[in-house]
Amino acid sequence: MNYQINTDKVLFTQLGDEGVVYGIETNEYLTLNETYFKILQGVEQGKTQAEIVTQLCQEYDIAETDCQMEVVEALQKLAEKGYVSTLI
Amino acid sequence: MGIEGDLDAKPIFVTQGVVGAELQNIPFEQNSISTFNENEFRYEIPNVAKYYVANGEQVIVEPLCENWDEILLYFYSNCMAAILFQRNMIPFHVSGVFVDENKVLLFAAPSRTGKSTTALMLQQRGYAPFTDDTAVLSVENGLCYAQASYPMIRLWQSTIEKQTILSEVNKKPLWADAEIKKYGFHFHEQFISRKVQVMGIIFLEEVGAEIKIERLTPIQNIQLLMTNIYRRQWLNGMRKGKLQYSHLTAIVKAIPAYKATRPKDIATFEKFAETIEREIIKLIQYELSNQYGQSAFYPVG
Repeated sequence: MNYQINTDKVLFTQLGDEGVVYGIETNEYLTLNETYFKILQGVEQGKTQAEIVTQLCQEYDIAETDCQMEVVEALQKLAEKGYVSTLI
Repeated sequence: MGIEGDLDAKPIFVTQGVVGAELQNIPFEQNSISTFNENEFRYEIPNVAKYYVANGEQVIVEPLCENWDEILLYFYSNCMAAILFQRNMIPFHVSGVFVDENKVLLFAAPSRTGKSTTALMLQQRGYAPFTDDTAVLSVENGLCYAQASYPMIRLWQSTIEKQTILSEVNKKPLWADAEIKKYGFHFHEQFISRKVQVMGIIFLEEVGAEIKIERLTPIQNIQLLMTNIYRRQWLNGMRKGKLQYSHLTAIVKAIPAYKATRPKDIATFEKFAETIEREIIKLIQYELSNQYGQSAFYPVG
């Protein structure tokens, strides 16, 4: 499943190795750890879920199946908050 | 009147008149004393005055008493903050001192945590005052700048008795109520109203048993910086959420932040100022001296 950022609902910025998300409608701030930030950045860059997993596996010492699970979970959480939505 | 020191600033037109009971447009937020939307702000202090601020350039004051000191106190604090927000400028609750001719270090803290006293103790060590209470922060080309609010240091009597650079004879009562022993000292001669570069911000906290200084991550910085926006509670009702976000993220990318802690209820301010000077200011001055190619100990004040 591939995602896009809901730019009318969220702004996000890299701060050091982490990131911060701002919910425009909710006025809520959410800090992102390094992994979550890279996942959201991948979505912004138009990468598919599989491409994000591949990138993270290259950067971190993590098994592909574990990485896949983490990415799916992260994207679901971000989708629940309305920050990303599926392309289909 | 214009904002002194910034000739490009639009004037603010202040008149004495009748303040209507309602805003011209739909309010986004209402409470017992204030009503506001993106471009209008109505504020009423019973038995003092009513105020109406619009479009970042107009203020109407309707006095309800003859005590103009008190009427102006709310004008300078609240009406000016509303004007700034309407102009998409954000004031922060900070004090600060100059660490170089044109560069400042800021201190942020909740009330009564020692913002003014820490800055004062550094003044005793030779660092000129920048602001005591508030400054507008902005970022241009990746550098953070601050513009001071007004040249007055406000201190509790207990602090006045512990310092050596301000004279009792120059103190001015801030409140009509003599029980509130907080006083103002003007520093017009040292005041610089133009924008100056910010070299860092220190968040002060009273906790633990010893003086400690630690560098904060940008995420920690943004969380603390947010709580020190002056009149932050108005931002949402003024529809300034995106402005706040863009300001905060730009500032934390531009300046280093530190947390400096000292024990509560123990007289450690002099040692606290000495530690801040040794661990932060001297480092900033050393870095600046490498940029300038001159002595690390640049004279200030």
